[in-house]
Amino acid sequence: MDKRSDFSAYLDGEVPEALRGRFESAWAGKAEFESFRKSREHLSALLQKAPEPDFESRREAVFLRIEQTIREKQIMVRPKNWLSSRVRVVWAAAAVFAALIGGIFMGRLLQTLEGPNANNEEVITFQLPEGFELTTSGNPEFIQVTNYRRRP
Amino acid sequence: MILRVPGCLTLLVLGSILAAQEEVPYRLKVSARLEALQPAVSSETDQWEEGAEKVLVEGTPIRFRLERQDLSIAFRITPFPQNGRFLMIIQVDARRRSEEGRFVGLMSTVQTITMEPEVPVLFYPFGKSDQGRSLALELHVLSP
Repeated sequence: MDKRSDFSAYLDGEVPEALRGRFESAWAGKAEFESFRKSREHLSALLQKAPEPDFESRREAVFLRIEQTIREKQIMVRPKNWLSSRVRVVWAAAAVFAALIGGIFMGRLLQTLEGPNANNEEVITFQLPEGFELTTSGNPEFIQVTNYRRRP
Repeated sequence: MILRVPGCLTLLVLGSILAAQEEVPYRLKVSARLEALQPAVSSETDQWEEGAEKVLVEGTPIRFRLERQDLSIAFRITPFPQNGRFLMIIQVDARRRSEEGRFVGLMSTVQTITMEPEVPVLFYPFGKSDQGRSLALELHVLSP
């Protein structure tokens, strides 16, 4: 115990300069004193450490900061996202294009169903009069009428 | 999003109108009639004339038939527009019904002819009636 109190006095700088050399040679390489020295240093470090943070005040500070951020977000203009706006433009253009193509398709469909050539596939049938004889000789064929005059 | 729906509907209607504004097509007029070989022979009782019009669509055949109980003449005209004129591929198939009720082929021809708008084309010689009249079959491309 005396040794420890001497050692403690030595560490506290209370040993006179003339005796310091003797103390050091007596304690050199002894684990007991080394361990004691380390414990003291650790205790000293704990005592000199900054106090534990104030959680309550920190929480208030955090809430204040968040509140400020929310307020700013509410009144600030939303920053433009260049990529997303471009994607929207592309989508809008695609929708317009699709509507136009759909319209043209529908128009064509309506024209086909109700237009002038809707019944073009239908076979026209004329009833020939009686007493008529077909000329099978002389290779009948279509010929262009020259010097054509429109009938009155 | 609310504004996009009427916008797209407007475009749909606009596209339909644009598609409907297609150029008026050429038409083919087919007319068949009895013509007097001599004007003096003509009378009101033996008048006969038939006619029809069809739209000319490239590569789409126009078909018509002249029918009687014992006779059937089928025409198939396929138009191909060429610089304001029409190359017509015309197939003619004439058949007569035999006494047994079966059709017997009389004539079958394929012909190509270039037709100009407003210039008629006649099928000749076609035939004649026993009352001194000839049957005229005329094709006519009508301009839009």
